[in-house]
Amino acid sequence: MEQHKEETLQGQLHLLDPATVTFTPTPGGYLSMTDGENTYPRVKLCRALPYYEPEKYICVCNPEDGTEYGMIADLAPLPEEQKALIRQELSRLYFMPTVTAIRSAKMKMGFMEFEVDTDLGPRSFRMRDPSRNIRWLTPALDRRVQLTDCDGNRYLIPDAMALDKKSRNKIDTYLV
Amino acid sequence: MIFEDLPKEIRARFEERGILGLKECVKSDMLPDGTFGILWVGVDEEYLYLLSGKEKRVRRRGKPTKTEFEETSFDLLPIKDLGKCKVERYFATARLVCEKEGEEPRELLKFSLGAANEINKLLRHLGDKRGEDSSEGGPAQGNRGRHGPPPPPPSAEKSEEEKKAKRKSTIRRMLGMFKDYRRLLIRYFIVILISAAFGLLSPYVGTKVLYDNVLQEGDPWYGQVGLFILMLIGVRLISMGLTMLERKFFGADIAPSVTYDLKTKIFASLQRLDMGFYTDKQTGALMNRVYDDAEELYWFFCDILPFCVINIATLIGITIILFLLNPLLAAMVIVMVPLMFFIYRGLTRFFRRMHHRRWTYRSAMVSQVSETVTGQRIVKAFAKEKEEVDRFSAYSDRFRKVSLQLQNMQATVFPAVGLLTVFANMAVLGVGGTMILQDNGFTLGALMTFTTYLNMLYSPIEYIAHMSTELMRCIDSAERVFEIIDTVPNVRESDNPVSLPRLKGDIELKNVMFEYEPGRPIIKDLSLKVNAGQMVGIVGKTGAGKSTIVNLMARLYDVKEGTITIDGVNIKDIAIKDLRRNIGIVSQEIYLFTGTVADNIRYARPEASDEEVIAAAKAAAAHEFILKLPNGYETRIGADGQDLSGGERQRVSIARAILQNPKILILDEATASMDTVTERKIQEALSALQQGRTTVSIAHRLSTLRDADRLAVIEKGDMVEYGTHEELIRQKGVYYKLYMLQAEASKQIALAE
Repeated sequence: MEQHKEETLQGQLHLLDPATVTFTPTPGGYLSMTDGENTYPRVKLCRALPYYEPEKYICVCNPEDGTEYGMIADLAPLPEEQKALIRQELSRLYFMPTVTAIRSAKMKMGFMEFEVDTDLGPRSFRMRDPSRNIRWLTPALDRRVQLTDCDGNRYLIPDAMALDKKSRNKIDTYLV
Repeated sequence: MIFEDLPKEIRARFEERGILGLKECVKSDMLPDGTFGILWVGVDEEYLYLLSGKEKRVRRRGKPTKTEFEETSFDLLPIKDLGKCKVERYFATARLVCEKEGEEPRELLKFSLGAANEINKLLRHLGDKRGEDSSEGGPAQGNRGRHGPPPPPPSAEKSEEEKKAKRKSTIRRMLGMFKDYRRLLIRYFIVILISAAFGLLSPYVGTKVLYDNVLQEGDPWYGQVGLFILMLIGVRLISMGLTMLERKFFGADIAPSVTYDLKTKIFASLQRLDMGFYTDKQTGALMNRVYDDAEELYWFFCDILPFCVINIATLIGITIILFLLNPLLAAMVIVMVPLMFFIYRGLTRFFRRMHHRRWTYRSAMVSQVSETVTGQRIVKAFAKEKEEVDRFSAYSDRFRKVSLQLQNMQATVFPAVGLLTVFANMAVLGVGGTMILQDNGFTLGALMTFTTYLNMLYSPIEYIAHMSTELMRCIDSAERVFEIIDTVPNVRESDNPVSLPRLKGDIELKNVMFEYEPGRPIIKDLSLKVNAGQMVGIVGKTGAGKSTIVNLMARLYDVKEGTITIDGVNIKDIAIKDLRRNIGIVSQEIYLFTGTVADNIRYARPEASDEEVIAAAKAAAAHEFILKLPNGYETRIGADGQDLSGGERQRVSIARAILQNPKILILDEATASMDTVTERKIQEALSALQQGRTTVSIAHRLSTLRDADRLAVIEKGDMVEYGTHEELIRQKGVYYKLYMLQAEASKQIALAE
């Protein structure tokens, strides 16, 4: 019975076979996919577990309406050149600046105004409701913290404990 | 002439390259290489210009900090080579891509989501350009010529100077509000000043007079202990009386009138705003503004402002007295004032952080409790009781730890600071004692008085240190309050409104475009005509824009492009009062106010008689269930009253609309939560009422719209089909498919039954 349940659940995932799937870059910088005899001129990639399994469960979708064509369970069995292609595309989609230091964080007009240093240079932004927008990803697993500004831009602190003390003090009270 | 908000130096950089006819120039925040920086993107008739660089803060002595633009590169692209441009949003960034027909799209620039609005402004010009190329004299004609229309006011980014100026003007405006309560506050001020003066006087009487006069041999007051005690009692009585007077003024006069007044002012300005404002900000945040900010402002007037003045006055008073008593000792002590100030301020900030963390942990704990209690059924169903207990104990343990830490800190830090004051007192006693022994005119009484005053010095310092942070919070609140008061509603009455007390009910939408946020149009170029007296049904998937269309008809929002006319008059010109009186809306979100059922039905027309209310309830098929309620029409409903089911609430709101008797009735999924039998009943009642009335009805269930004269099928913000039921069935399009699907479903239900 248990076995049977497992199988029906497995059947829900439409997994793509790494042996038959090929991705090719289009001149415009997108990806197209061929799976056996099916060709998809443009596909969108999407991570199911973007932080903890960035190289697994990659969904391949229609860029227009988001319907899923299938899922790559793991990048590992794919050839290197294919992996590189997918990684490049994913890093563009999931691009997120990394915060290295927090210069200042002050509440003003109901917004928290940040001045931070990132791997892409200094940056200032405003945040609404800091207790909701300064968040551990999963405090039980690691020390990654995500900041979301009022425009929806997201910034990652790879290890909140590794920040200098002054930076850490500025966000400490909001980390639950 | 071009754009008010394009900085001079940026304009100069374009002009020195001979670019004079910019139609638009916006600021983006990422450089072509993907790093953060400043990118000015300009567009004119022929080219797209990219001016990239960094902003540098320049500090010059004696002048305010200024940001200066440091150019790194300049690039231009001919527009005709770009093709169709569009913005692609990703998870954390967006980019502008252009796609030429027959070619693959290419990336023009990257930007963060915050710059998306700016880039969209540009897009319109790129779009216009194309439009002009293909059809000369098209709709873009109005925008032609060298200069485009002025862009909307500059975005939220402001320079340091402006911010400072804003702070200053906020304080000025706050003091301006003070004018309204001038009489009350001045009276209060005088009382507390006198009471503070008495406070200053009493140690002098209590110590100096005792030691240097009453207990001093040879003084005329020598031995008058009884008189002295009477005098002391007198001083105490007077200052007690003053305190009572102070409390009375504060509690009975100032507090109620100031808070009431402020809250009403803020609430009134909230009511003035259009729907857009409400959808932008969360309702909770709005309520916070009304309550918390008014409270903060109230503290500013009644606590911070008077006590700041008094504490500063006391500080000065004590300093003067200290200098009069002994200049040398006073000079020694006064050095300590700034030191104490900074220590207290540091402590305030530190403990506020600690308290805030404790508060955060506490609310995490509380919300876990409420989550588990509300979801108890699920917890039990999955047998997760133990896990929930573990989760709670983790939260609770963390809270315990931080509370303990806070207690420990408080237990050690405050005595340590106290020790500092003890040291200061010791030093004063040492030096003062020596002075007395040397007998150079300094008396024991003066020394005792000196130490008493010295001890009185600490509390004003502490207060002022504490206030400096508190004051900032008040200014923040005031800025938010002024922001609401200053917000100009987008939907506002035209300067010469057309009065149309009785509408006929012809509605026409012409090329209407609408978007809640720039770049994401909900309605694209929609035209629709509804004749007076007709019933038009609007059909479509969730999110197609159906509700938006009726919201636009009722002018809860204004269209971005195109026009909506009622009886041939643009709705922007119709007096809002007339418009709202003639349009009745029964929407999917039903809000019943706290009050009786009758009050709720009467909300639309307070002067309606009881018979009319009951008749309206009958027409809405609500009469029967209302009679079953314990208090009939007088049953209290709303936040603190009886709970009504979804269908019952809908019926009450339909009765409300029927009583309003509008010429245009809008039903937005008005019967969605009712069973088909009740729905049929209401429809019969409604169709009787629809005589001589224009009805626009949105429904998911197509059977609801069987009486509609015309049906409009909406898909992704466009009208894809329009016609009678029969016509649309014959077309075999979207409507046909929907209809067959639902017919299939009802057939199956019929079979099952």
